Order: sequence, then C-alpha cells, then structure tokens
Amino acid sequence: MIEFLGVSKWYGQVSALVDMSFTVEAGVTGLVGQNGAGKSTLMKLAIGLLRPSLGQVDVDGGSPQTPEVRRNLGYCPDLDAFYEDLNGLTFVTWMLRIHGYSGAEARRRAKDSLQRFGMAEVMGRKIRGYSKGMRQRIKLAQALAHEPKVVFLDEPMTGLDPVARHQMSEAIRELGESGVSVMVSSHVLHELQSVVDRVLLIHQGRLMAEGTVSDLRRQLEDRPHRLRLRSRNPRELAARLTSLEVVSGLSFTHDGLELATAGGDGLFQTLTELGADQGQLVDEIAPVDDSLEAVFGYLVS
Amino acid sequence: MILLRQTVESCRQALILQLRSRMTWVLCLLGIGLAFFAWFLPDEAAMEGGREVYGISMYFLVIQFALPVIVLYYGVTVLHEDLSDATSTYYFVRPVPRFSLLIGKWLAVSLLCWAMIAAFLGLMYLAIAVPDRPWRLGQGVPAAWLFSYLQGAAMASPGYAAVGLLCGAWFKRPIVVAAAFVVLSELVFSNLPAEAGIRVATIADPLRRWLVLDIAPPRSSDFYEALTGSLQGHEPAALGDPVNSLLTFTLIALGLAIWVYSRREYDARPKD
Repeated sequence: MIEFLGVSKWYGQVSALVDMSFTVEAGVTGLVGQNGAGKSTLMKLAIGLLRPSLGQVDVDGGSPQTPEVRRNLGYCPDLDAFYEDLNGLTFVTWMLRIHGYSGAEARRRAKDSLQRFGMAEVMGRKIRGYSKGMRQRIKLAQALAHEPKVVFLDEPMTGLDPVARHQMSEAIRELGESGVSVMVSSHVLHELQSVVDRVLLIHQGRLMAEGTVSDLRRQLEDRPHRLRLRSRNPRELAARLTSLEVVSGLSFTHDGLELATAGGDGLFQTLTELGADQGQLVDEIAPVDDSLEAVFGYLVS
Repeated sequence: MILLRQTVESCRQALILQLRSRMTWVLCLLGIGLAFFAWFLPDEAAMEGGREVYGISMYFLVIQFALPVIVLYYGVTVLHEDLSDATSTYYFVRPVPRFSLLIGKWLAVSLLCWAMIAAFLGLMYLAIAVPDRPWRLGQGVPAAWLFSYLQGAAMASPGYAAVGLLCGAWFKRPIVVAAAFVVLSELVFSNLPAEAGIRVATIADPLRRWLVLDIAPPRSSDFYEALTGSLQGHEPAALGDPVNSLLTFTLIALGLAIWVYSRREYDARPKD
C-alpha cells in the first residue's frame, strides 16, 4: 500500500507538489500528467530518493527511506542509465547482490527474471549493444527480480515496439492481479488505460482527480461529449441532426460524422430511431472522448 | 552480517568497474613505459646521485604528484560518475545504507590506487636499483626504502580517497575542488612555516615527516633536504605523531563524505 498524507515538495521557491493525499491499494494505478506536472517527483518521494518538505509518505506501512521497506520495493526508472560494458545478466545479478542475495541466488533470480522478459538469448551480450526495448526490459527485470510487494514503473513503455508493449502490458496486469501494488506512469495514455485499475491525474503539482477511468468520466457529465457516427449517408444524417438543440457541432469524417453534444437522453433516442427505423442512417455510435486522454484534456483545460 | 556482505559487494563492483576503465590501463601502460626508460638510466646519474636518484625521484614523482592526483581522480569519479549519469538510482532504492555503498567504494579506490602505485614503485626499483650500476660509495638503493614508500602510499591512499569521495558527493564540479585541494592543501598549506598548525590538516606534511623518520636519510644528503626543507630546522619528530595526523585526517574526511552522501536527496534528471 502507498499512502501520501498532505505531501508537499518545494525546490526553493518552486513548488513541485502541493498537498497530495491519496492511498494506493493492491492493483495497478496509473499516474497521468503532462511533462513537469510532478509525476517523477511523486515517484521519487514514494521510493525515498526525495524527502517531502511537508507531510508524510508511507509505503508498505513504513517510510521508504528505511531498508525494511526497500526490501519489498521495486523501481524501474525512466532514465536510460547503465554500466554499458556489463552484460544484462551481470547487471541484474549485481543489483540483486547489493540487495543482499548470495552470488548463486542472485544469479538464479536474475536469469529467471530476464527469461521472463524474453531476454534469455541476449542476456550475455553487453548492454552497449542492446536496443532501446532490450534496455527497457533490463530495467524492468532488475526491478522485479526480487519479487517486490510494491512496484514503481516510470514510463516503462518508452521505446518498446508494439509486440513488446503488449508483453509489457500483460506483465504489468499480471503483477497487479497477483496482489502487488503497482504504480505506473506513462505519457502514452491509451496504453495505460488498458492496464490500470485506477488513475491519479496530476497537473502542476496538484492531484486533480483519482478513480477508475469510467468514474472520472462520470464526474464530467456536464461537459460536452463527442460521438463518432458511422453512416452510409452522412449528408442526410447531418441534415436531420442539425435541427436538434442538443447538437452543438458537426463535422464530416471519412465514414460518417463526428458530433458534439451537451448530452441528454433525447439525442440517444433520436440516434437509435435514425439507425433502426428511418432508412438506417446510423450504422454505429461510438464515444470519442471516453478515453483517459480526453478526460485528462478536459480536466487540465 | 548482511551489511558487511553489501559493503564487500559494493567494493567488488567498484573495483571491477575501475579495472575495466580505460584510464586504469592507460596509467598502467604509462607506468611500465616510465620504468622501461628508467632501466636505461645513465651510469653517470648513479655515480653522481647515488641512492638518492631513486629516493628523490620517487618522492617528487610519486608521493608528491602521482599519488594525490591519481587517488583523488579515482575517488571523485567512482562516486560522481554514478551520481551524474543516474546509475546511483539503482543502488539508492535497494535495502542498503548509503554508508555501506560509500565505504565499499572508498575501500575499492584505496586498494586499486595503492596497488597501481605500489606496482610502479616496485617496477622503478627494479629498473633503477637492481641493475649492476657503479653507485657512489658502492651503495645501492636499500630495499627498505621501497618498503617505506609502499607503507607511506598505503597510509596516504585512504586519506586522498576519502577527500576524493567527499568532493564527489558534495560538489557539482568535484574535479575542480579536488584540484584546488591539491594546490592549496598539499602544495601551499603543507609548506607553510612549521609553526603553522594547519599543516597537520594536510596529507602531504605528516606523510613527509613519516618518511623522514622511517627512511632516516643522512642529514647531509640532498634527499634529507628535499624531505625536510619546509621544516626550517625543526625536528620532524617534535611536530607530533604523523600517523595520528594521517589517521585523524582520513577519518574526518571519510566521516564528512558519509554524512554528505547519506543525507543528500537524489533527483537525477535526463541531460537533455
């Protein structure tokens, strides 16, 4: 469990985080925010690299500064820093030996962890020759090799190809399902959306919202929605929709229309009628802005 | 027990990284090259300078110059490189106290640098003293001088390493601060009049006094003059126990380095 109680962090006159309070239970929690929002500062406070100027950070029931808590903590940094002349296996083994494992146990765990992330074939090669994706997987392997209870992943998808991204998403989801508390940050929001149970939205050092993606979207019911309508006759459809009061905007797409609306049940009833009864003008209705990215966009605008 | 294992592991990893560094191999090749040239030392030099050829050249070249420069360089880089390129992050989130990491690195730097200096002193001894030269008064270079230098380097290396680590942990431009330490402390303060108390707050002064006492060169020799010139007639033994001074200096510098390294927040950012 990760708990922030009234945490603020200042760098001189600049406030990086302001009065953050939240609790993260087991499962995967996404940390979303623009560059400079305070995501990395929040993670560094949670892993004990920084100390709060005000408030208290608890991880797994204690301060992240203590060795007892760190024993059960895993961290995958966003920075691409390695001892380039070491091979992947040696690097992960070194980290485990510093963690306190004996040489043989450290090597066994390192091999297992690297194999888990598809690095079995290349673990003997120097890190200098690794691709961006391989380097990312080495960071993840060292973060998880000691089976931590609390894991922090800072931009873990960066540099991965689509297949590797999918594997990474699966690995993160499995971690969450196994009872580990995972906090993961990413700027690729739609990827995060498929992995996380909950989201923390931060902007300019403040916690703007927290909850599941659909929870957050429900909080924004009074905001305009956008819908994508697939139609074989978009001109006819547009003509009928422009007369409706709830429709605040329309634009043509390659296979239909995109519609902006202030909401209301009446619109959905009309759209259903248009699709079912009146010449089947609507083939498909899909919300455009139910994504994490859209929610985030609304909140910070 | 686990703390000891982590300290030893930190030392082992730092040693391996330093042994793999290009600088280490460049310095080793440089040392071998110098020893190779010393082998061809003209017999006239041995005739004129006698055993002092080895004593004086090793004092100025190794004790006054190479030892502080090399150990400080390694002390600074072993810490500062990890901090500046963010590899320290992997260590700082592990269940290991930072003082364990730092002591491991300190041991690694002290050992490696002493080993390199010792190898060079030994090679130079082989090159200068062992060949059958026409030494003045028939005296060669006693092996005891070599052992005195080896001991002196072993006492000074941990002190310089601690200063290097302190600079690496504390300052953004640690090499500049370390260079200032060499100039100010080792060259200026250590050569102040003997009454100046600040001399004991250097490594060069107590090390020099210890060498005088241990080697005990003839008082009329150039070697004695080189070692005691700045004492202005004071007896080295009357200025306090040099071993105590070195030990105190080393412990204070190491303690400060641990304090700074353990307390600092760590906020590595991309260098873009």
